Amino acid sequence: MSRRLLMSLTVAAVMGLSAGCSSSATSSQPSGSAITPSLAPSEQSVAPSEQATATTASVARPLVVVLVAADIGTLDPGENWYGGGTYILADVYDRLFKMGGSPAAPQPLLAAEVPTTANGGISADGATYTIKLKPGAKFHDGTPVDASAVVFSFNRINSLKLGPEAVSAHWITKAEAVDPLTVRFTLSQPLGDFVAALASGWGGYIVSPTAIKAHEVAGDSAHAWLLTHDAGSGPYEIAQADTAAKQVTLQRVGDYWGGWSDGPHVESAILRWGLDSATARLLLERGDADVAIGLAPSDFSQVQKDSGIVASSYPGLYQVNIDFNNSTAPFNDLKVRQAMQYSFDQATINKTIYGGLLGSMVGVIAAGYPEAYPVTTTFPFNLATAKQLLSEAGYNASNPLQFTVSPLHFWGEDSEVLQFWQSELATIGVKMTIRETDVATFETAWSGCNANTTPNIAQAFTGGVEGDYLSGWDALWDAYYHVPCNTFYSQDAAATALLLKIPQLSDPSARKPLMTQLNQILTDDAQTIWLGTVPGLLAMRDVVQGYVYTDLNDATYLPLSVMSLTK
Amino acid sequence: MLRYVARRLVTMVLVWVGVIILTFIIANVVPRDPVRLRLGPRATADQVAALRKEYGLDLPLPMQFIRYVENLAQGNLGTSLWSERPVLDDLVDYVPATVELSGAALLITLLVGVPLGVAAAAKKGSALDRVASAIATFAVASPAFWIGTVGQIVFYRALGWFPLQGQIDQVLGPPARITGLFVVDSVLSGDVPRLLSSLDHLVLPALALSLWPAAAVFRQVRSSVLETMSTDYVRTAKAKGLPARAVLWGHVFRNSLLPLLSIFGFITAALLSGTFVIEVVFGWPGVGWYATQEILASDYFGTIAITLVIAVIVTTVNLIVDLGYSVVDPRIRYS
Repeated sequence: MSRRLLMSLTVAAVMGLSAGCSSSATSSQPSGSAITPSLAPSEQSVAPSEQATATTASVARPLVVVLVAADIGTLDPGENWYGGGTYILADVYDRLFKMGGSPAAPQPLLAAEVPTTANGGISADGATYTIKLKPGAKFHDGTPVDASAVVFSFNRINSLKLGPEAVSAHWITKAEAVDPLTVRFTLSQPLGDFVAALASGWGGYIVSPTAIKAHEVAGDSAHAWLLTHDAGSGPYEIAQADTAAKQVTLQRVGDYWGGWSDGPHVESAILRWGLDSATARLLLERGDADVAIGLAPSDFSQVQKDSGIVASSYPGLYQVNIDFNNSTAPFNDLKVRQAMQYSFDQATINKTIYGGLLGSMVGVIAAGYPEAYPVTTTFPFNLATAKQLLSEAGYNASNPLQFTVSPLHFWGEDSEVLQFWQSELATIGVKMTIRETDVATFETAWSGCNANTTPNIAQAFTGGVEGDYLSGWDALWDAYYHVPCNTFYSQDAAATALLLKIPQLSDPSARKPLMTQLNQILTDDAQTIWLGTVPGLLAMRDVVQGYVYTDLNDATYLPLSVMSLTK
Repeated sequence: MLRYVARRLVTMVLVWVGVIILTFIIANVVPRDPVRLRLGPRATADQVAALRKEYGLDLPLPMQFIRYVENLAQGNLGTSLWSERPVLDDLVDYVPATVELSGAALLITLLVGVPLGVAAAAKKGSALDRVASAIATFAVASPAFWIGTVGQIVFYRALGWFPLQGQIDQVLGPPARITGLFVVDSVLSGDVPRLLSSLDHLVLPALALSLWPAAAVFRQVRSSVLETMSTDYVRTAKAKGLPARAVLWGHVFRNSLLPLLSIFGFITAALLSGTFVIEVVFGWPGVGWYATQEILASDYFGTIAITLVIAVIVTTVNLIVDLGYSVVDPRIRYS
């Protein structure tokens, strides 16, 4: 080898090797015994106590969290409607209420108490809510969280009109500061779920008016500034937001108005999103991540075998389904829809594809939602019954049922589910074609109520629904009521009337018969196939302590303020 | 020569205009609504209409195009529907990362491909030649995403030698921004920990990105050197008693440069397109990663801007390559 060539190669090698002395965390060795996933739906969330005690035992390094999610949306709480966004915003901003307890119910956070008719917080007609605030709450910029800030925040959400106002703000016709610690909301109609809506992970965050006005540019209500900064009052603040690297760093607010309990705390946290499940699992196994949220079931089952990782499955509220276009043939025929229900082997799909992790449904409402009252109709897997129903609908060997379905991949394994179902349907002479499609094109047509006039739009698709807050009614509202078309392109006058009447009632005993009736109607109508709920799969290295499960919208909301690292 | 350059510049501008027109048409032919993607499925018709008006998407297509070109002439590339920032600001953030990655990959390509190609040709049939040729064939046939993923599994998961993703250690964070290139900025600010971390994170993606171009360069150089070595003047040089090293580097190599120069433009295009895949695999926040987000968001502002940037780079490199011919080979003159 010539000397010059050797020199060239050596320079290249040195360049590579000098950078190759990377420090990777030691990997934990997989153990022989699997860790059983725990279901802990009843633990109460712990809020920071009133004691403002400095901790001396906290580990200095940041907690690293990886989210297996496509996107978290923006960091502007007036715009964010992505589930992933709650992992950041719920620790940086406070709401008037948060969910807690078992069964989950709104608990006061910035509010001093939950308003009721008994304490005068809710008017007799249920359309006016008077909420008292806790004294002493302050934003990160030092200004007080008072009634005018609350009014400002909801008016801001309504004026931006970027999505989250649909949760709570759009019900508000007037928000006013009665006194510095009292807010009054006048609603467009009585809304029994209003307090639960205010506790939602979307559309209820209180922002500092001072910060907003200071950073407003060309009337944008500081929207551009809030994409990388915060105007919150929560126990953590945004130290750095790097959307290019898909990473946000949160820093503990030492003088958080709610105080800190004794003991160690998470001093800072790095939250990363947009990673695929395999990558997240690699990072977790090698110790370069402390928490992984949303692993695929296959990766989750692998990390369960790692003795250094605590892998837990919690009930989720994201309901996954196969949506039909109920407005046209073949699914405008009830017998065809019922046949589809009987042909779907949910138990086997859950066992073989989801490892038995799917949560159950009560009719068309996920078990776990309040007011998920039992129904009398079920559709146990029975291909013979399905075939009989199809025959009654006019489909047989000489006139087979044919339809297309598009997997939109909002949830993992939807293609596998469809392939399994396709093979089952084939045994009774049904030809189901799976057609991959561009999600944006499909959504544009479907959400725009143009599915029947847009070419090449499948007659069914895989989708999912999650209520904006913990309310059985809201979960149904989101799926079954929309103008001019709902998710299933269906119209049921009785169901629509109930969907409009129920929210006007705040008394659970008055709502119960109506919710039961609504659930029964929608179950009987078989407008969609509900697979169940996707569980919250949470995997943490054993150095992470203090996590408690909360019945929030997203079962794996990460309460950083009660968590800590041991090393 | 000047007339040639002027003519080429005019042609380049025409290419850029064509790229803008074509990308605009393609972006608007696809029946997707970027506004609805941004606002979500529960947005009302009023909300969709309001945002569409804000971005000028309610205008007829020809008017949208005219407005876009008018803004472009003033240096305004529009506002990204995905990032909600001016596209120019986005490019300022993302382009340096791609320059850093592509630059490192190009350096590896040339430092490995050229000397190895010369050595393999000089020792044709030897073990070095055979092994290098086999590796090159394998590299040319392997898709970049596969190389990248295998690299992650071997060098991160199994060996723990290099980090899995990202441009720098997530705890350290980026260096003080001067150029936007992390390695350069770390050097300029004397930040040794960040320099080492930047290099550490650069190795795997740069190697993965450079594998195909390095293999292409190796094969081209080897072939070109072999062809040149069989010419009369080389035989004459040897017959005159010149040392083998002098013949190889003084006569053979220089005369083999023309084909290498020819594929240089092609390699630049390959590196730029390869970054789209490698940046996603390695979570490298560059133009390729940004382009993926823009395409998924159906945002034509960002899509056109990125396509234009790539067109400018590729056409400029091709012009430099063509002008370089006359430097390498004095017999070539442009008129």
